[in-house]
Amino acid sequence: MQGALTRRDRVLAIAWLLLVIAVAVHQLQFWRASRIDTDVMALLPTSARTATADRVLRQLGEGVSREVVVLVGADDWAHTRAAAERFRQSIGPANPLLQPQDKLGAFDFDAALAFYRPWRDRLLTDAQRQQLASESPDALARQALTRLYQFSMGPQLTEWAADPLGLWQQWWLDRAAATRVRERDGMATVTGDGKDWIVLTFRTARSGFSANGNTDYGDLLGQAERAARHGAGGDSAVRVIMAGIPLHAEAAASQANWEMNVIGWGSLAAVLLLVWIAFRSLRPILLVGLSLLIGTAMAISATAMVFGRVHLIALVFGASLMGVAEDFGIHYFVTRQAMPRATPPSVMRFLLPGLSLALLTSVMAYLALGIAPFPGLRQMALFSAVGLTGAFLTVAFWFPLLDRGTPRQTRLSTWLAESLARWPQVHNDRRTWMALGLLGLFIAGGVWQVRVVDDVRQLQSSPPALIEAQRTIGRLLGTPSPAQFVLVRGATPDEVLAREEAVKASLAGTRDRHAFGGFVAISDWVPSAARQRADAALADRQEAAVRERVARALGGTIAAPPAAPAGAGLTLQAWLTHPVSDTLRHLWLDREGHGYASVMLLRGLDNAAEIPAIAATVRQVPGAEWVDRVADFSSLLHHYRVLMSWLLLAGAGVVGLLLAWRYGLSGWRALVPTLLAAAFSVAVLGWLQVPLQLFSILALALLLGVGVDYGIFLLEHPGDGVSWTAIVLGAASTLLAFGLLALSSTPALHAFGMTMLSGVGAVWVLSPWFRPAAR
Amino acid sequence: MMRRNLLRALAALGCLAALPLHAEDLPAAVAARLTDAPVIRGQFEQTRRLAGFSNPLVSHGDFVVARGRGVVWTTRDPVPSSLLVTPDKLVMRGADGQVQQQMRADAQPAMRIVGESMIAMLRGDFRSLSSRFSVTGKLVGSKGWTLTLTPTDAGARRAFARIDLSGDQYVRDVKLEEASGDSTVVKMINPAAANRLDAAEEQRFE
Repeated sequence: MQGALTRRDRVLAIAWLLLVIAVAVHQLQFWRASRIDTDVMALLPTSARTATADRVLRQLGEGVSREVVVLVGADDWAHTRAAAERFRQSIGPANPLLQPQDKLGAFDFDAALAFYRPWRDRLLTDAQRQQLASESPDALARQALTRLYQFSMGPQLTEWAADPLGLWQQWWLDRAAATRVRERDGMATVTGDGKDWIVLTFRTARSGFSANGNTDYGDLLGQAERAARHGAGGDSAVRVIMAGIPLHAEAAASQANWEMNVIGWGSLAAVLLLVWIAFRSLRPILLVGLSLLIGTAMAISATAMVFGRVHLIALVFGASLMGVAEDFGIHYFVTRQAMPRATPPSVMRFLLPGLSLALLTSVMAYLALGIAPFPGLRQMALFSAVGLTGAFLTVAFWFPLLDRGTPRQTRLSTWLAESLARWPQVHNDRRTWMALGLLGLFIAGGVWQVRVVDDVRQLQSSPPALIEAQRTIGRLLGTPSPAQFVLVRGATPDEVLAREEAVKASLAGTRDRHAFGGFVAISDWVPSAARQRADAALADRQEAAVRERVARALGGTIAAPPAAPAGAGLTLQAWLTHPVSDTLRHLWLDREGHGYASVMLLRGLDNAAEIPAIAATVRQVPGAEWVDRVADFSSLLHHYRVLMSWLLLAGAGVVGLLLAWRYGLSGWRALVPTLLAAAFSVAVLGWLQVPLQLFSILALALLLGVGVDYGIFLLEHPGDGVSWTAIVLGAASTLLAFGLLALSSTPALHAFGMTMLSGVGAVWVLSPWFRPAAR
Repeated sequence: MMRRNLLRALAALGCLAALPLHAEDLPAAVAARLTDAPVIRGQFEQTRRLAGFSNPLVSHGDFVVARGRGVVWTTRDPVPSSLLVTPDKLVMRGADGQVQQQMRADAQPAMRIVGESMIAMLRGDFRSLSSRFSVTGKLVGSKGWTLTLTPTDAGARRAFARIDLSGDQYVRDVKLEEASGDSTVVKMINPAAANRLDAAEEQRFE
């Protein structure tokens, strides 16, 4: 056995050092730029088919991505005003973090009136159109006279002759239905849940969030909330609700920061503690720690370089890598203990084939996570594969160079090596069959209770309270959900508007039974040319008849209204270039493929059970498409859960064939523990009411890769205490890392951690039980 | 502010006989002269002049104002109809009793301004309007008063250019000048105070 370092060993070690330095430099830049994603959307795949829908979602989100909405409510208006004032005072007019926005003042009603005035007769509500078409001129004239002789009510938007039936006011009231927010004493208000609310809007000064885990916005708003609720003349009936994308991003960042620290540093500390107990020497601790740090840094750098940004969920998942990548270092030191007389380079050369194979299978198992086209999963796959390789190469290139000491036997490693002989073994006897029976009962009972959930919200880590607040604000303000909408396409802008009108007509019945509140659509503000012509013809004819009859009844003359402007009527182009369209312009997608497109949003669609019927109705209108990205993503998760389940079964089959080829009939001893452990971990999910989902299946795939290894080691060296020691130490740290991952508040990572924790635990116990008799 | 001072100066110059008062004291001084009965009822004559109409529109009818409840304004001729205004809704019915127009304050707070203004005008209680109008005027003789209300906020300005009122223990004359240039003059005839609504009136408030 050649014992010295070769020239090639030194060259490789130096090359590796250069790469490590490059990564260190990149890391400094990365953490300073803080290119970290928190948005769930960034985890999800996009395709040519859904590109438009995703563009819409981005466009809808852009305007509000830095907006925080606060509702302050009390039992009556005076208390609400006082509480809202306390809230505003607490934030202050010139806060460096949050700037107050005046959305109400931004809408100039007088300018809007002036803009629409020339086209008054072309703008009718559905009810008015029906009334004008069905009622006789005599009946309409009688109503006009009734109004003329009554007490004068409210603002007259035009002179009488221009709108003798008073239609325009109602048209504006219908437009106002697009939002539930109303002006009161110069403030934006809304009524609901038995309270008067004042709506305060703020804009965040920073576009990003702090990666250090601080909750600056949350703290500031929490302080203002306390001021509003308990300030001078404190008021127990005051409620404050806050929502907005910045709050979700900040909560996700601070949560992920905590989880990364707990999982990353927690498992690093656990690994180092294990190494200390097993080897009782400082050098293994430093070297194993070094391999883990280099592996993790390389994983982050590689992910950032390939994907441009790193998602928080990948970082949190990656933190659990600590518990897997330590295997190489531990194997090395366990072998050094067993071969005290061999030099480090020769130990490495002895181990390298086996370690390379182990690296290859683990990397393959991790890369399998990336089969599904989810950018988030692919980030996790790349992160883990690079992290493992980095740790492995550090062990291979540097350990022989840096490890100079003489390893000593410790009591733990000796005891561990001897413990294998005392472990129970399966025999064809009553005890074995009873134990198997109990295990079978546990598995059957658990699997029976498994719930399958393919919900994209499993990826969402926002605290439930924040999601609830968001929902309450959406309901009170009547904001339409941006995740479901109608996409309308047409060859010309006017065809788009006409098709929007067709969609509204087809859903009129559904709306009348209150399945949803109404639409937010451009055609409410700019009717199609045909609709404008028809409405103008109808209104002009009936109004002329009414004017004539009223003048006759009054026995005098009435001046003729100003002549309507000749020409094309109200055009979309005129509307888009006028400030009146500011709040709705984002619904117009303009050129889309070979034509034009727009988005219609639905208000008050609270009952998910109504969605399939609405979607079916929308699909029957030419050019209209029902888009539900939540359902899309969920069905995609479903698709890949089923696909990965079949791949998992096929993988188990292939592994079985390989084992049979290598070990013949006794190959079952390596496969059965892993299969039983997989069933066991699914059963644990069932017993603990954790839903089975794509992430649990992916964990099972990883378990297959890791678990069979234990069986292989025990088959390769029957009764060999050294490989058993390495297995125990490796499994213990793997268990800890995934146990910590199970603490994550992101449901998907929690499920992954739970599945791995119970699976690896079971394999660890079951593998020696199924080991062959020592030779 | 300039305008208010100017109006006050004009009022003082034109009516040297009357005692000019500070605007802040006026509503209270007028309120002291008005009856505070729970119910006021009477007849009215309303004359509307609309831009473009050669003839004024004259109508007659009766009204009931109940404290805390609102107003029922019933036009008897030439075209019968009724208008109910309460703090939270506004309902207009035609001669056949069918609802022609209806608005709720919680859905349409702008309606609140209309309703509150109307109730305040007929009861002579302007304190609720002081946030939307500036009030000038004077006391006349030992019982009378006149007031002018000028809108100060955008919502009220869209409806009214100016409101003139005069009366004694009751509001007697109201002149509304609307922003559109139309105007309405209402004369109250035989107003009388009562302690409660009678059964028929009670029904009209439903």
